[in-house]
Amino acid sequence: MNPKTQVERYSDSERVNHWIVAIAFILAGLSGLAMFHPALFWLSNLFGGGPWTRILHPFIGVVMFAAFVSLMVRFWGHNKIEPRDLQWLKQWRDVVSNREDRLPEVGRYNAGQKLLFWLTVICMITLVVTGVLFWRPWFAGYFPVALVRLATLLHSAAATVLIIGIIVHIYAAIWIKGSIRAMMRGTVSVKWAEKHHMAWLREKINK
Amino acid sequence: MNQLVQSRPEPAATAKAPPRTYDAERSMADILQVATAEFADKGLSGARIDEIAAATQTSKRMIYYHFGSKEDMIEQAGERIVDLKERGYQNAGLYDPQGVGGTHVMYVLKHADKPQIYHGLPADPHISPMVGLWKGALKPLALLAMGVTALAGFFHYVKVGPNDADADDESAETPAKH
Repeated sequence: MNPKTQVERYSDSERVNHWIVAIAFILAGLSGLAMFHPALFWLSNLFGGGPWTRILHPFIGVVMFAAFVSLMVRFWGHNKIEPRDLQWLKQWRDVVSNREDRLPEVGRYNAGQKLLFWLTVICMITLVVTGVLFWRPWFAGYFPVALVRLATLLHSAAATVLIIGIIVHIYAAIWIKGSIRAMMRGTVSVKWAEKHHMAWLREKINK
Repeated sequence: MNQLVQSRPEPAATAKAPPRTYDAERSMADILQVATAEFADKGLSGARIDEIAAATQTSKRMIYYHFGSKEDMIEQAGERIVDLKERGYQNAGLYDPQGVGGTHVMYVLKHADKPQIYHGLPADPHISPMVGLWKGALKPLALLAMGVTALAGFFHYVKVGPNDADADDESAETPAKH
């Protein structure tokens, strides 16, 4: 096989779905940060001022969650943790030093990507549940104030973890060349697949 | 011309003389309202007379004229408490709970020992530890963690560089060419 041959990694609908989540995440993240800390309140200007930021944020969040559920269903089966993932994690030093040749063969996703997937699942569910608990004026009134306070705290914590996780995700996409093209145009070269996801490529060819 | 300008305020001042007391009372009430909110928000040491003046229709100088300093205002409440005690309200006092950094409005209560009887004012309100954690430690730490993660990524790229499967051969050949 010619190493420059392109193989499909993400279908059209998978890519569109991913970018709907990504755009909603950026908007929810920026509007959330505007309300999170006074030092970032200037971000509310992007959404038409404080009140509009506050009004729009939960709706953006709901769009993000709905799109994420669809993405989660698509990728769920590819992210089950396997024994070789533990070996991959043990060799994290080889991972960050670009010494992939020393790592066990990787399927569609490596252990790092799988961990990020499950972290995102946990954070997204936490965000939507706790977000509803203090969504004023519609839902917050039905819950005791102690629960609303706990929800606010957990919402911020989950958002913080998710934002950090997505910073890592974005950085990994910049670091591993070809990843952004995979999610933008849908294809990767055979060479890219051999280097980063050999087991996935073999599976794909054998099909 | 000069004469005209100088003579103008005279009739106006006389005409406005009777409502002046009323204006003074209204201005004092306005200042009191803003000041109590300001003190309640920021506490005795945090409140600024400049900010109170900016939020009212009056000047800083007039606030001092009407009420004196911040301590004077607390003192004024103290006088009213003494007055109430003389009239038999032994437990009169100022309701300004420090556990929440003061209330939105400072109250002089006839029964300050039982604030609950005033529409359920809590006796010793305090900030929930959950709110304290959220507003205190978590926010700066969370922002710091986000910034550190982004910086770690940047410096990882600087040190290790990109992982480029498609360019591996070319980069291996480059040194040989030169």
